[in-house]
Amino acid sequence: MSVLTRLFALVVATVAVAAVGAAAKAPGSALEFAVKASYLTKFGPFIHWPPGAIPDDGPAQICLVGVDPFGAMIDAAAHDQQIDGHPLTVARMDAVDAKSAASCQIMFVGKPTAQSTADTLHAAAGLPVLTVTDRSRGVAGGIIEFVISDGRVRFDIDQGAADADGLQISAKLLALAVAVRR
Amino acid sequence: MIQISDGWSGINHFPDRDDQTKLRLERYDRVPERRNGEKRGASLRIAIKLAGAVPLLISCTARPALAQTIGDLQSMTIDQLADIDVSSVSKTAQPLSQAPAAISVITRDMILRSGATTLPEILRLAPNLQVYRTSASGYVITARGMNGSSEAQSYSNKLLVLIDGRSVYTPLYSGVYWDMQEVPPSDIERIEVISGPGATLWGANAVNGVINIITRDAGATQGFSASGQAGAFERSATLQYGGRAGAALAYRVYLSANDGDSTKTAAGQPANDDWHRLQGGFRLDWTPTAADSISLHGDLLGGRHGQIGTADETIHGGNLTARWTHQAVNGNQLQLQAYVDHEARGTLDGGGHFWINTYDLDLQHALTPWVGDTLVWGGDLRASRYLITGAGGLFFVPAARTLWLGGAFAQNTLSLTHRLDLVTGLKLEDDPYVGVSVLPSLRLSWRPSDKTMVWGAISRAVRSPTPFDTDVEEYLGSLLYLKGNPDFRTEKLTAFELGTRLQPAKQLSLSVSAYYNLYDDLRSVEISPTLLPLTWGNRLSGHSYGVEMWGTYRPFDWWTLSASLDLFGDDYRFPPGAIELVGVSQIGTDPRQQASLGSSMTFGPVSIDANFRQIGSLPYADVPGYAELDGRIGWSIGHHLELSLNAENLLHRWHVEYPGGYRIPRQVRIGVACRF
Repeated sequence: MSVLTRLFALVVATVAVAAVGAAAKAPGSALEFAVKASYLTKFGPFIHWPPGAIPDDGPAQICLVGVDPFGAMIDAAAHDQQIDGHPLTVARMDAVDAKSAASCQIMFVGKPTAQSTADTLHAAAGLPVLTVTDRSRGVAGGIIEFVISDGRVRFDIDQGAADADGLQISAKLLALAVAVRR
Repeated sequence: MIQISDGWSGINHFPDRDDQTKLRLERYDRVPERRNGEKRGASLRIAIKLAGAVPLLISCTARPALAQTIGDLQSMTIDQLADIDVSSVSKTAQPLSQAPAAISVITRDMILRSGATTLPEILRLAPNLQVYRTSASGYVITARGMNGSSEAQSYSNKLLVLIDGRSVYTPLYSGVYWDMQEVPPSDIERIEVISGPGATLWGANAVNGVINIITRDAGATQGFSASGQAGAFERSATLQYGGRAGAALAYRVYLSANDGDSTKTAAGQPANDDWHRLQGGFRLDWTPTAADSISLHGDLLGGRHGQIGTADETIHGGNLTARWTHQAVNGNQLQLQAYVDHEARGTLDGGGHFWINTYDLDLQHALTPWVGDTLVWGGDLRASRYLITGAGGLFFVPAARTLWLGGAFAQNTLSLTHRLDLVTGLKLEDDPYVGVSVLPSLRLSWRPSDKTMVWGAISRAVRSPTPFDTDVEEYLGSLLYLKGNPDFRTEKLTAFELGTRLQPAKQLSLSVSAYYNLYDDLRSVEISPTLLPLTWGNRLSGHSYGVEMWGTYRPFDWWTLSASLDLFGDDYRFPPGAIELVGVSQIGTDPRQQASLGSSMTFGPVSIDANFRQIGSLPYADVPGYAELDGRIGWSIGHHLELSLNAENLLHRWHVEYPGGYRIPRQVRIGVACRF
């Protein structure tokens, strides 16, 4: 798109927004979700999974349970990323049980579709799965909760829950957390 | 504990320029007439009109945006992710590493590792600030020069300082009482220091720089902590408790005390400037819904410090800020903030005193009118009421006023291409003395590669008149010696900036910015037709220029090195035929260069930090350049306890930093911090 076209489009768009006012349906906060998707693909190196938690010959898996707010962004973000030499893949599911949860190394629990948030987290409890929720969007619980702090996407860490699941979290990640519960 | 005092000392209410250099004004017992502050109804009406004009602004100014792709994010470290501003509501609409301005950031880690116990000492960590310690508790802080002149009563006044969105420069003369601005160092999340104008977003007074101090969310400071440092020259202690009431509400309360001994004057006589401060405060963060967050914070402060030849000066302050942020499902963000702020200073035993109360309401709205573009607009309304009780030959006429200030701004970031952003902004500000100022800016940033950004900017900023410019009356005995000028105009700046930020290797980052500042209508001391009284004029103009560069290099995970260099030049002139009273040096006597080197090492539980600085001599004053070294060794014992050894100014027994300033001594402090 040429610069002129974009300028024209901008003027049209801003006039439209001014006209329609706050009710205007602007595109969602794409950047916020892009950052969250990037986090999910970058937590790996800061987590120590117990031996055997990642299948020797298989990929490491990010599972998105419930509503997937990321779409293709997370597939792009996971592309070429690894955890301990295992390529990273993304799987989407509506519900999990203890068996299917065990195939995940990282589990993002979105807004519930077929299974309540509590049931999803319960299915993963005790397994070496890094459970992640988005408290800034109304889903809480798990080991890591995304929060928005001063305009930045940050997170709280529940170290007690990580210990219970046999995961060790590096000091570096703990230091980045807004709050750490022990 | 904290009361409003009614003492003060004439001219000494300006921070710590002391008697050594100041015009000695004899005590004079005239009580000035007091008139009640004039309401500025007209200003209010204009502010409301401005608010109505905002939709127009939106549609006719381009707006800056974030053009982040997944590819960009993928190449970032996790720390960089944590630093991306996804809200655009902090008025720096970009991730800091991409903001097209000369921004340096003092991180929490840097603050804790410096061992600094006061805000001005923490600000020495910013490579783009000049910090002069004038006495035991007095500081002058500038960016890009203009450090003022005590003899000419020209006080550094071109910096905007915000603590959690609350403006802390005083409307009385546009300078900052640094001894009244404290935040417990461990509660600071980060400090953003922008050198150069920021008037389009922040309004008048963001002329040469903006300092934005952001404290930590209460959820991040949970548990009990106690920390203290003690040495032969200064002591400090902080007690804090952070807790939760339910999952959605976190709070903290703190109490801190600081105490410092007297310095000596440049001539070696006791300066009698020992000081004490006690401060307490709280912060509460509440997230009632996933989309809303509310924070409420406040502080109370009381203190006193000694002065030569007159009674002690007392300081009292208090503030309360409430902020509501609403994040709409579509990503738009709305922020509403209100604060009240009280400051009072006075000299005991019948000296002069003043109080000033500020009430401020601020609205910001960030939206994404177009994919990849961001628009921020907002408005603010501020009322400041004050009463100044003169003494010692210094009076304000009228002694009381209410100053109304209103403004509206809009700034748009437009992604012209994937790698080219255009940021245009405009602020209209209506101040009580000169009416509406128009403060536009234009910024362009270009990212030729993921590791390189080049930016340029042209902007305009002003320093608005203050009561000190228009209302002051100073007497020598019964002789009216200086009288403010009711027709004083704004001081104006047009700034041209060019900068780059590079990350040539993963371990290395660099920032270089150059500026050329054109000033007009700067304040000058003028004579009246009858010679006396002197008055203020706007007859100085000129330019300043300089280069600021800084970088960090991290050769190993355990070692970070940093370096900085600022070069500065200026040339100010009077128009032909001017009387040139006090000369151009009344603008300031700024060092031509300032350099620093830092090293930060971590060996398991032990951290070793050193910060060396070299400041050039001050050209119009008899203040030689100096080099000094600060250092700290910290030792963490388990998770709960840290011991430290903190040193300032290790290289010399003492040095002087500012004309008429006192001897700043070497000092060593032992520190303990424990957390549960």
